[in-house]
Amino acid sequence: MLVFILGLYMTIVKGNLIKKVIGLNLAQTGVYTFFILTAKVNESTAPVYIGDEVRYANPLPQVLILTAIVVGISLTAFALGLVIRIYQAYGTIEESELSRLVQANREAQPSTLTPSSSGGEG
Amino acid sequence: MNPVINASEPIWAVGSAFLTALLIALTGRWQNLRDLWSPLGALAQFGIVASLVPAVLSGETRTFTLTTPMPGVALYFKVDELGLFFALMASFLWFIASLYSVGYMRALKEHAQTRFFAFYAISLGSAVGIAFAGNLFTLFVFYEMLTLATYPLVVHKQDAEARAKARVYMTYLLGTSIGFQFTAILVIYGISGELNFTKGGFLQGQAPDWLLLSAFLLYIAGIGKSAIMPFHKWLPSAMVAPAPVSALLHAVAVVKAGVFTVLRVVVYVFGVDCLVSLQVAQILPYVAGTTIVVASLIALFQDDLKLRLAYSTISQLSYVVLGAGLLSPLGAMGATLHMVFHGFAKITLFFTAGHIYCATKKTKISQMRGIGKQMPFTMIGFTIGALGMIGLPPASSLWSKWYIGLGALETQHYFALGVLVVSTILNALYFLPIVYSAFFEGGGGVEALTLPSPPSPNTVGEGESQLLPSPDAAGEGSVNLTPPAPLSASREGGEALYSPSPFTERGQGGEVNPETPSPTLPLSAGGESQLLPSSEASGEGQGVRATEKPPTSEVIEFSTPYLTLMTLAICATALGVLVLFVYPHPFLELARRVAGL
Amino acid sequence: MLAEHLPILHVLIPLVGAIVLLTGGVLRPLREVAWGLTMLVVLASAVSAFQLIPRVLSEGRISYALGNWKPPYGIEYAVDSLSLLLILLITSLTVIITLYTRHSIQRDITPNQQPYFYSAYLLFVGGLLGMVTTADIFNLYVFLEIASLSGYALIAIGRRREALLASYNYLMIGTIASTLFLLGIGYLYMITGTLNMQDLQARLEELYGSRTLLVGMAFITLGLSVKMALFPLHTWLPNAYTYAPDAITALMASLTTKVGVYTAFRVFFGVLKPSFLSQVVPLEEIFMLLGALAILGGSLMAIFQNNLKRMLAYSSVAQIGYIVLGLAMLNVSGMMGGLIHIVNHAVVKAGLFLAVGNIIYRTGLEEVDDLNQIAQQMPKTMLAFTVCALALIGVPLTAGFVTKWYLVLGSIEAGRWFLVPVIVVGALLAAVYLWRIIERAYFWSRKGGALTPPAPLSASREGGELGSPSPFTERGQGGEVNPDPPSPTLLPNSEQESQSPPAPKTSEVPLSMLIPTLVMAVLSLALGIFAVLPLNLAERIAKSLLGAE
Repeated sequence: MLVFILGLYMTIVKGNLIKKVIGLNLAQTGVYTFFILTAKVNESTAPVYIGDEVRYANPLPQVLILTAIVVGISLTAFALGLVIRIYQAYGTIEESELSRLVQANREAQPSTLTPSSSGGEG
Repeated sequence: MNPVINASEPIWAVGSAFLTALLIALTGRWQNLRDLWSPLGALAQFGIVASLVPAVLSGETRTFTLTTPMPGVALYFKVDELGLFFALMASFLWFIASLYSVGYMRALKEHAQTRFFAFYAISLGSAVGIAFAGNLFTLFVFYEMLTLATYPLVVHKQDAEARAKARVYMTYLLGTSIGFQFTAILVIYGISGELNFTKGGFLQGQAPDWLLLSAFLLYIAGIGKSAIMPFHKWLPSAMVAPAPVSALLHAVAVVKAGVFTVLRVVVYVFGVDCLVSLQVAQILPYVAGTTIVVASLIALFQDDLKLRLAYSTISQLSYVVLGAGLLSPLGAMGATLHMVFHGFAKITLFFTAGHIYCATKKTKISQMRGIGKQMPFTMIGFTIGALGMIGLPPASSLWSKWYIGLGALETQHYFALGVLVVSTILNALYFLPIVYSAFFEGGGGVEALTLPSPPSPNTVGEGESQLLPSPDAAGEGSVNLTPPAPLSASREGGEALYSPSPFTERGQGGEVNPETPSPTLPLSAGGESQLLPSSEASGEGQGVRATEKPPTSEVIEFSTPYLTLMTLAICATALGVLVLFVYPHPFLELARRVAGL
Repeated sequence: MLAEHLPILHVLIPLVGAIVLLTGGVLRPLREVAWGLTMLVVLASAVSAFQLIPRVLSEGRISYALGNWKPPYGIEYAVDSLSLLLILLITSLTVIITLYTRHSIQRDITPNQQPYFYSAYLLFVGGLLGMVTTADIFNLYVFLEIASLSGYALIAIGRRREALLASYNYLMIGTIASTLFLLGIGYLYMITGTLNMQDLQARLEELYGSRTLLVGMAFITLGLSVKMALFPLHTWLPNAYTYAPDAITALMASLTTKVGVYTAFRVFFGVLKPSFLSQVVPLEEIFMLLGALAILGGSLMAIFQNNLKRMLAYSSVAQIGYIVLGLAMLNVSGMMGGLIHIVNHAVVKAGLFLAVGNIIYRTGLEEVDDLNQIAQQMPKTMLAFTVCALALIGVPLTAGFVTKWYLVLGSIEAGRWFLVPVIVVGALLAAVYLWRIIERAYFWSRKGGALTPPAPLSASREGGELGSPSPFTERGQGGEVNPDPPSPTLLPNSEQESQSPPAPKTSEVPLSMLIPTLVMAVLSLALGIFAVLPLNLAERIAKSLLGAE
C-alpha cells in the first residue's frame, strides 16, 4: 500500500517524464503486492503441486497478477516510447520546460509534426 | 355525435408547403419556374385547408398520426375549429404574400432568393403544422421548426446588424421555448401522462393548484412568440428582415403561432374552468394589458415605420392574450377573431411599408409626407390597415375588439376595458398622423418641389446640399428624385444606382438630375401600366404636371410589373380587411364554436 | 457450431485481425490492403454482433463460458440487453468510421505505417467490445487496459507534436485510474473471493456494511470517473481529443467515454444493487451533483473555446454529465434518458467530429473564427454539421430531444426539480456554442484569403457557366442553404462557382469521408423520429437494472 502511495506521489510531483513512468510502475507494483497478499493463506506454500495435504496459497490472484504485470510492462514500454518521441519533438523531457514550450507554441503558429513512427503499440 | 375520422388531409396541408420548399430548392436555377411554386403551393395548401371547412363545420374531427417517435408521444394531427381558423388565415395570406414577395425580392434584386423562398415555404408549413397539431408535442415540434426556419429569413441581409439582431431573435425564441415551454410540457406530461388537446382541458384537478399554476405560467412565459412584455424584444429585432418576412412574421406565421398557442393552452390544455379556479384572471389580463399600453407608448415614439409597426404588433398580440386571459367565452371568441383580423390588417401595413421601401427607399415616417400622392393605392391600403389596428368601422377588427370588450364586461374586468379604450386612443395617435401626412401634408412638399426642385440639383450641383437640409427638404428631395430609381434599376443591372440612399447616389451624379435618366426609362419600363395610375392620381385632385414628369408626385406604385404585383397584393389584403368587416359570419361562427358558445 | 460461440466472436474477430495486421505489416502487399482488411474485420464483427439481437431479445442473457470453464470459476462472457446496446453501437459506429478513416488518416501517417495503425485501431475496438461483453470484472480490467493502451497509441499518431504530450498525459492519468480500478477489484475479491460479476452481486449483498467494500468501491468509482471523464476528472480529455487524428477523435468521443459509463452502469447495477446506492452510500447524490456540474461547466468551457475540436471535446464532457445524471436518478425514465443518450450522443458527436474532420481535411482550418462562409465551400458537410448540432441542442425530432425529454421526465418523477433548469440551461448553452459556428458558416462574409482550397476543383469547367451573370440566378442545390455574400454586385455568386479567388468553390471531401458524415446526420435524425426501437431496448435495460430491488 505504501509503495502504491509512494508511486502515486512520484507521478504527481516529479517533473521528469521518465521518473513519472517509474512512479507509475511503483504504484502498480504496490497494487500487485496487495493482490498477492490477498492470496496468502496462513502457513502455506506456493501453489505448486507437491502432493496432497499441503496448504497452499490461492493461485488465482497470482495468475491474475501475472496478467496485470504483462499489462504493466506493455504500458511502461509504450510510455517510454512516447517519452522518446517527446524528446525528439521537443528536445526535453522536463515537464516545466515542456509546458513553457507548449505555451510559446500556442502563441506562435501551431506547428505540425511530420510523422516518423507511430510509437510502440504492441 | 362528433365523428372522429382518420384522414390524411392535415398532413397534406403541412406537406404541401414542405414540398413547395423542396421544389423551390430544386428548381433554384430557373428563376421563373422557381417563383411559380410558392403561389402554387400556397393555393394547394389553401385548397386543402378550405376543403376541410365543411367537415369541421358539420362537427367532424379529422385526425392523423404520422409517427410515434417516443412511446406515448406521437406526431399527431387533429383538425378542429381553432386550428382551421389559423390555417385558413395562414395559407390564404401566404398566397398573397408569395406574390408580394416575388415582387419585392425581384424589385430589390435581393440575393439568395432561393433560400429565401424555400424557408418562406417551410415557415408556412410549420405554421399550418402548429395549427393542426393535435398534441403538445407536435405543437412544440412545429413551433421550434418555425423558429429555425425563420432564422435564415431574419438574417437575410447577412451584415453585422442583421446577425446581431437575428441572434437576439434566436435567443429569445429558443431561450423561452426550450427554457420554459419544454419544461412546462414535461411538467404537464408528468402530471397527467397526457398530451392530446381536449376541449375544456385535461388538467383540472390533476395536481395541486400551485403546480398547475406554475406550469401555466411557465407555459405562457415559454411562448416567446406571443411577445408578452418581458419577452417581446425579439420582435423589433426581427425587423431587420426584408418586408415580406416582417409581414410573415408579424401577421401570419410567428406571432400568430404564439398567440394561437396561448389560446390552445388556455382552452384545450388547462381549460377555462381550471384556470378560473387558479385565479389566472387575476394575472394574465394585467400582464397583457400592461404590454398593450406600454408597447403602444413605445410605438408612439418610433420614427422607423417598421419599428412602429412592430411595437404595434406587440400591443395587438396582447389583445389576443388579454381576450384569452379573461377566461370568458366571449373573450376567447374575441381573441380568436382578433388573431385573424389583426393578421389581415397587419400584413397590409407591412406590405405597405415594404412597398414604400421598395419604391422609394424610405423607411422613416418623417420622410413619408405626401407619399399618398405617389402611391395612392398603397396608402389607402395603409389607411385601412391602420383603421384595422385602431378598430374603427370599415375594418374588421371592430368585431374582435367588440367581443373582447364584451368579454371584459361579462367578467367585470374593468381594467381590461380601460386598456381597450386607452390603447384604441393610442393606436389612433400613432397611426392617423402617418395617414394624414401621407395624403395631405405632402401638398406642401409637392408645391415646394415644383418651384425649387428643377434648379436645386443644377445650381447646387453636389449631393451634400441635398443631404443636409431638414426633413422638409429631405422629403422634398426624395419626392423629387426617387421615382426614376426603381425604374432604371429594375431594368438594368445598375447596382451602383441602387445603393441604399437614393440621395447620395444622385448627388454623386452631380448634374445627373432626374431629367436625364427618367424620361426614357419610364416609357420603356412601365409604359402600359402608367395609364391607369395617372388618371387615378389626377382623380386625387393633385394634378400631374406633364411638363415636370420626373419630380412630380407621379404615381409610382405601378411603374414596374413587380411594383404592380406588390400593389395588387396590398389591395387584396386591404380588401380582405373590408370583406371581413362586411361579411364576418363564417368566422364568427367558427370562433363561437371555439369559445364553446 | 459457430452460433454457439456467437457471444465472443465480435470480440475475437478484431483482436485476431489486429494480430494479423501487426505481424503481416512487414509484407508489402498487406500494406496496400490494410484498410480493406480492417473494413472486412469490423464488418464481420458487426455481422456477428447483429446476429446476437434475436437471441438476446428472446432469451435474455446469453452466457458463454470461455474455454468451457464454468462460471463463476472460469471467465464468463455474457450478453444481456445492456451489453447488446453497447455492442451494436460500437460495431456499427466502427464500420462507419472505418470507412471514414481511409482517406482521413492519410494526412496523418505514411502508407507504410498503415498496417500498424489499423492494428492499434482494431485492438482498440476489440478492447472496447471485450469490456462490454465480459462478465468477469478482472477480465474487464484487462480489456480496459487493452483499449486504453491502443487508445494512447492512436492519439499519439496525431499530426501535431502536442499529440504526444496529450497522449502522455492521458497515459499517466489513465493508468493511475486503471490502477485504482484494479485496487478496487482487489478489495472486492478479498471479501468475496470471486470475480464474476453476477456472483459478486449475490455475495456482496450481505456485506453492504463492510468497510472493505466501501474502500473498494471508492477506488473503483474514482477510477471509473476518470475513465468516463466525469467533470472534475476530465482534464485528459480535451487535449487528447484535440490532437488525435480526426477519425480517431470521432471514434473516441463516441465510444471511449461511453464504455466507461457502461462500466459504471455495470458496477453499480450489475455488481452492486440499486439498494446499495440508496441505502448505504448516497452516491447518487454525488453523481447527480457532478453530472449537473459537468453539464454546466463543460458547456461553459466549450463556449470559450476557439478550436473546433477542443470545443466539441468540452461539449463531450458536458454530455457525459447528462448520461451520469440519468444514471443517478435511479428511476426508469431517467435511466432510459441516460442510456439512450449513450447511443444518441455517440452518433451525434461522431457526426460533429466527422464534419469538423472534413473541414480540417479540406481547408486545414481548426478555429471557429476562420469558418466564415465555409458552408459555401462544403455545403454537404455543413448540412450534416447543422443537423448534428441541432440534434445536440435537442431540437424536437432529433436524437437530443428524446434524451432531454426522458431526463427531464426522470428528474420530475424523482422530484429533483433543480435538475430541470440544469438540463435546460445545458441545452441552451449548447445552442450558444454551436450556433456561432452555424452563423459563421452560413451568414458571415468571407475573410480575405482565409481559405486554402487545395484542389482546384474543376473551377475552369464551371467558370464557363458564368457567362450570363443575371443577378437573379441563384443556384441552389438540393435543399441546401446557400447564402451569398452580402454584396451581390461584386460576386455573381452561387455556391458552386465563382471566379474571384477568395470566393467559394465547392470542394467537398472524398465520398468515403462524406458518406459517413451524412450517415451520422441521418442517424441523428432517425434516432429522433424513430426513437421507439432504441427506447424499448433502453426501457428493458433500465427495468432490468433497477428491477433487481
